[in-house]
Amino acid sequence: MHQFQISPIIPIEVGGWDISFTNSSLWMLIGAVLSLVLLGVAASRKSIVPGRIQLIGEEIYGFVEDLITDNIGHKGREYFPLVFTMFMIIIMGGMLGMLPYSFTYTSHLAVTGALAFLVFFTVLMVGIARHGTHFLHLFIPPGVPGWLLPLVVLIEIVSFISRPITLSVRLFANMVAGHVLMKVVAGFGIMFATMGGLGWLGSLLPVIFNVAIIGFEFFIAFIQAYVFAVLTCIYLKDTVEIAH
Amino acid sequence: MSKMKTVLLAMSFAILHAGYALAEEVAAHSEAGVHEGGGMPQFNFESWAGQIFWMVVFFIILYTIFSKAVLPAISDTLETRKSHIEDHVKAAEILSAEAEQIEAALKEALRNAGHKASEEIQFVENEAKARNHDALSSFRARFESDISSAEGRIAKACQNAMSDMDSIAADIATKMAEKIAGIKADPSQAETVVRSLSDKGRKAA
Repeated sequence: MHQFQISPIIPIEVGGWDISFTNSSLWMLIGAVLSLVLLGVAASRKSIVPGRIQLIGEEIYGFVEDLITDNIGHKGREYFPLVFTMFMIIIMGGMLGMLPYSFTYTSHLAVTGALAFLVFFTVLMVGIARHGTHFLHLFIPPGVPGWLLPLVVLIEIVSFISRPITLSVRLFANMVAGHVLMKVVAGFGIMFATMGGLGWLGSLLPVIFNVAIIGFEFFIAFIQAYVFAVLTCIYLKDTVEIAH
Repeated sequence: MSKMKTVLLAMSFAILHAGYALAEEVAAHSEAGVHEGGGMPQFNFESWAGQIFWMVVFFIILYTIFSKAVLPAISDTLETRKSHIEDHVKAAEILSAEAEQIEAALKEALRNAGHKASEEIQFVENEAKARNHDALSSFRARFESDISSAEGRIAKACQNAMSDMDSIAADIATKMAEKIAGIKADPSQAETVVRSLSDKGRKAA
């Protein structure tokens, strides 16, 4: 579990709260700077025929744009920066986390929870501000018989409240599981290698396996950012229109 | 779907509970001065405030820069490209319409020229035919008049020849009568007789 250990770099304490700049914050900074440099360069090129970096920026833009128009509709454009920032932060966390000796800031429930609750409160506040009491219709699906209504409403409320929890736990658990698995398999390799004799031959299998897992983990890093963004869109849709 | 969500909810509660338990354990360890104790660092709640704080800070920074600068710029570029392509497509459409017009005009001109050429050919041919016909008929008229004048001349020559023959016959008859019978005959009388005889013969023929 050492890879998930948070260690302060610059200790800061404000009003009794420990908000030290840690290795987690450092990798957030690296991720933020990297995405700003990449997208900043991509945005500043403004060429009719894009180069490599400009194309990467435009592809990410188009990817998130399609995500929003597919899941929210054209009214969802107001959430474009929110979903885009979310996607960039999570994909940077996952991708940078694949570097050896780096720190995966999305492997901490505090971070994924903060992002998930950000979405949750955005939905809640914008929904109530825009729809007022009509927003409560979200919990009353149409065509439910009267006697079943209390139970259905209860289930709907629970499912609504569970949104940020599932959202944050999914991302955090995926990141942790991937990194733990890589470490465990790597540990097998070291175990065989230090056995002596022909034991090192046994380490070949875990090493080959780990190569596959690392490739897969890059895919997971992308897929989790995608899933988080898609679910964010689906939840934000409730603020644009209530289906019933 | 709701069932699945409830299961996930239960699972996440279970994880959270486990987290609390681990955190308590970690807290107990850290109180004893052992930081590298068991349990997941994720549930060491001492670090949560800092993590949330920095995440929110970076989120706000990224959100601001993305929404104010980066995304409008990329959107601008994409719009520019789209309108650029659309302009070019429109221009190409206009040009192709023009080309079609020009092609139609060209075809029209070709057709007209063809018509005119065939008309002119027809005209020239007709003219040539008429001239040919005229020349032929004038030639024929001249030819026929020549023939008829020649025929007239032949008939005249023939007549002359015949009258000569009569006078020769009368002359011979006079000379024969003088030689054979010793009669002196009047040549003009003889000629009259011959002429009447030849007229008789001619009538009989």
